[in-house]
Amino acid sequence: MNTDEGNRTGQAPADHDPWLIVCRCEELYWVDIVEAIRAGARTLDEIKRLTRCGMGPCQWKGCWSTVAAMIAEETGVPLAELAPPRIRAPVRPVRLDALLTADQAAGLGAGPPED
Amino acid sequence: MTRHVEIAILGAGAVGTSIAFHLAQEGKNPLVIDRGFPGGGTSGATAAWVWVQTKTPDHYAQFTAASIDLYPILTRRLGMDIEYHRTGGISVAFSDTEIAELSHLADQQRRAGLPVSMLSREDTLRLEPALNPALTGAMYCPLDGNVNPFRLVSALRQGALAGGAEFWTHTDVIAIEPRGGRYRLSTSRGLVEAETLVLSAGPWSSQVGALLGITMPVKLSRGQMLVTEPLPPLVRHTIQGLRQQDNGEILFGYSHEEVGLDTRTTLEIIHEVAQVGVRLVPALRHVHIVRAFAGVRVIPNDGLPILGRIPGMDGAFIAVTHSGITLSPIIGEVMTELLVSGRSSVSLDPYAMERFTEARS
Repeated sequence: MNTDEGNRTGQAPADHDPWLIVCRCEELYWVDIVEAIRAGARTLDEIKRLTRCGMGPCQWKGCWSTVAAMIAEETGVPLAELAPPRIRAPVRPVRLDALLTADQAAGLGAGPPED
Repeated sequence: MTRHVEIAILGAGAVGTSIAFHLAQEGKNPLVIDRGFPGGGTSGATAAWVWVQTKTPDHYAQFTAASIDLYPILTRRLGMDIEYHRTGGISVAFSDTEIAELSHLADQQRRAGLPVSMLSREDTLRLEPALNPALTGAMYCPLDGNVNPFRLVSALRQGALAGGAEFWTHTDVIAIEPRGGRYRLSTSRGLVEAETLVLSAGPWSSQVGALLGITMPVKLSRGQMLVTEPLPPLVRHTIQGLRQQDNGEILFGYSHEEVGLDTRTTLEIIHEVAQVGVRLVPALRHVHIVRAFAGVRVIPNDGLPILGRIPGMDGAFIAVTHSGITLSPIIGEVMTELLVSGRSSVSLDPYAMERFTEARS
C-alpha cells in the first residue's frame, strides 16, 4: 500500500485496506473516514469535525487529496467539484512568540507598499 | 410529494440537536433541517466552555447553573464520551481595579446562589501554577468546565436518530408559508408540511426569520481563537480565555467583532489573542500554534436567550441564544416540555420573544 501514490494522483488506493492510516496526525484509519461519509458528511470540513482528520499539526497537507478521493468515490461527486478545506494561518506550526508583536508581523500584515 | 411531519426543527447546532434529542426521548419524531451538517456552524467553532460564573442577572445565572447541573445526566443519557469536565473555572485579575470588579460580581453571584469565591494571588497560583505570577487574584466557581463540542453535537445527533428523529442535511429552506394552522416549507430537498416549527438556526436565524416576515432582534459577533500543538497537562481549570483539551491542545482567546457572517481570521486579532494567551500562561510563549479559527456567535440584543413561542404565529417556536453549548441541555429539556405539554417546568418568561418590541414586522 502506497499512500503517497494516492496523495499525488488524488486517487483512492485500489484495494481499500480498512486499516490504512489516512490521517497520520490524528491516527485515523480508512474506515474512520468512510464511516463519517456514510454518516452524511459531504465536505472535508464536515469530515474534520466528525473525526479530527486534518485538524492536527499538518492541517490537511498530508491527507487532503486522499480524503477528497474517498468522498468522490463514496458519493459519486466528481473530485473537481469538491470544495477544498478551509485553509487558515498559520499554514505550518509557528512558535507563539513569533505572533506576539505587531512589529515582527508588520511585513506580513501591512500588505504591498504604497507609492 | 409533500412530507408531513408533526415538528420541524430548523438548524442543527448544539441547540437544535439537543431539542431533537429530547423530543425523540419523549417519543416524538422531529425532522431536523440544516443547510450543512450538524455542528458545522457556531457549535463547531467555539471555545466550548460550560460556564456560569460571569452570567448576570440572577435569573440567567440560575438558568445557566441549572443547565450545568444537567450536563452529567445528559452525558449519561447520551451514552458516549463527550469529554465533559467540570474543571472549575477561574477569572484572573491583574490589578486592584479588576479585583474590585470581580469582588463586586462575586457578591452578586453569591446572592444569586452561585458557589463562587474570591481567591488570593497565592491561592490562585497554588490551584493553577501555570498562571502568570503577576496576577493579583481571581474569582473561582466550581461549576464551570468545558466539553468537546464536536462530540456533543455528534452524540446528540446520533441519540436523536436512534430515538426516531430524522435529519435532512445540506438542505436549504427556500420559503415558509403559514397555511391552515400549519407551516409549508419549500426546501431544496422537497416540500414539508409541519404542524409545529422550531427555529434554532443561531446566526442564520435572521435569514430563516425573514422567510416568516420576522426581524430577528440579534447581533452577530465574530470570535477568533488560537490552538496550540498537543502539550503535556499544563492547565487543569477552565480559565476565562483559555482551556486545555483532552488531547493536550490549548484553546485560547476571545474577541468580539461585528462583521456579519464572515468567519475569516485576521492577523490583528491573532496578535491580540497571542498576547492574551501569554499574559495568562507565560509558558505558552514557547509552544507552537497549529491553527487559528473563527466562529460567529449570535447575541440577542439584550444578551439573554430567546426561548418560547414566536409572537403572533401559532405553532411556531424559537430557541436562539448566545452560549448555546452551555445551555444546550436545559434548552433541550424546557423546549421539549413546552412543545409536548404546552408549558415548561422552568419559567421562560424572562426569555420570551415578546420583550423585543421590534420583533414583529
